[in-house]
Amino acid sequence: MDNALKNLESSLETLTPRGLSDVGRENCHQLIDQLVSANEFPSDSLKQGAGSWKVTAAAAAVALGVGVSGGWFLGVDRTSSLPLEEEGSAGAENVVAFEHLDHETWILSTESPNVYVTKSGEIREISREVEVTEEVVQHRESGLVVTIETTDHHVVDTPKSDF
Amino acid sequence: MSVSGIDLGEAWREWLGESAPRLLSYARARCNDVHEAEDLLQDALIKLWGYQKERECRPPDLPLAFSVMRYLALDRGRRKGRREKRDRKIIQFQSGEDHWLDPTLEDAEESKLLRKEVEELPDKLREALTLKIWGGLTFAEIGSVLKISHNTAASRYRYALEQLQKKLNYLQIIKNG
Repeated sequence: MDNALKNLESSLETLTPRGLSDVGRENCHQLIDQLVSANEFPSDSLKQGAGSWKVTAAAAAVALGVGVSGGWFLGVDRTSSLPLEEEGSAGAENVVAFEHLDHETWILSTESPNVYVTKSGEIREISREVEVTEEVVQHRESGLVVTIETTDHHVVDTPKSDF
Repeated sequence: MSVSGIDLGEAWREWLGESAPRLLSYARARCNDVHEAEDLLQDALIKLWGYQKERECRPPDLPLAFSVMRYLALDRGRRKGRREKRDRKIIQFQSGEDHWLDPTLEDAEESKLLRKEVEELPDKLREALTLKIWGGLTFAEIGSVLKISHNTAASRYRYALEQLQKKLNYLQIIKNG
């Protein structure tokens, strides 16, 4: 390596990487404390602390799954068919125990549509779509983040209007 | 909690104090802003803790930490790519002052220029440069993190330096008229 590059290397070494922000450091320290304590009392946690979140998470995942399949997060008004709060059940409490962080829906794959003719002579095209919905929720008490991914397979059958 | 007389919380905090600037500089080179980089670091902490359970939960070696950061950054980038298609149509957030190398510690114009040019390097070259200069890794370790041979790692590093040098020379010529 020639001198110019060595000098450049030395100059680069004088640039200081930015450290963690105060908030970032505090968050990391809290996270470390949580990881240590979760590791320290695994058996107790199963009965009380972390265990409760696992049970709650599982219940919430079911509740959210019901919510998603019922169109809760998809903007469809299904409140009458999904009376979570009215029931006052554990499911509703579990959902309250979680903060909704993110929701994303995307089409994972599509295929070229197949064209067919119905008995009545109508020309239609049919294809399949895989829709993936990802919900990210955070357990308020433990701070742990749970990602729930659901996959729906749709058959899209539409009239073929043009060629 | 202590393992073999070591306070794990304290050990990890100490490890974080030493490693955070290095890991963060790598995360910043792969993320759009400092908040995303810090989130990435926290995600990496959780992953690393899981990996280190086999090793009495001791703080990890730096190359492993970089590998995990890289994996998470790739995964995040993949997810983000999907989101960006949607978000780009709405709004773009861009902070001109959001640099990943600390600008407060540099006064010289040359340093500012250098920092700017590093940030504009192609991803692969910047990654090798970041891991070598600010990550403190050997070429063999960089190769292991990036899943490339140590020769390729060294080549990328050298090429990054050469590109920077060329750009700086060019800018110097323009400056001197």
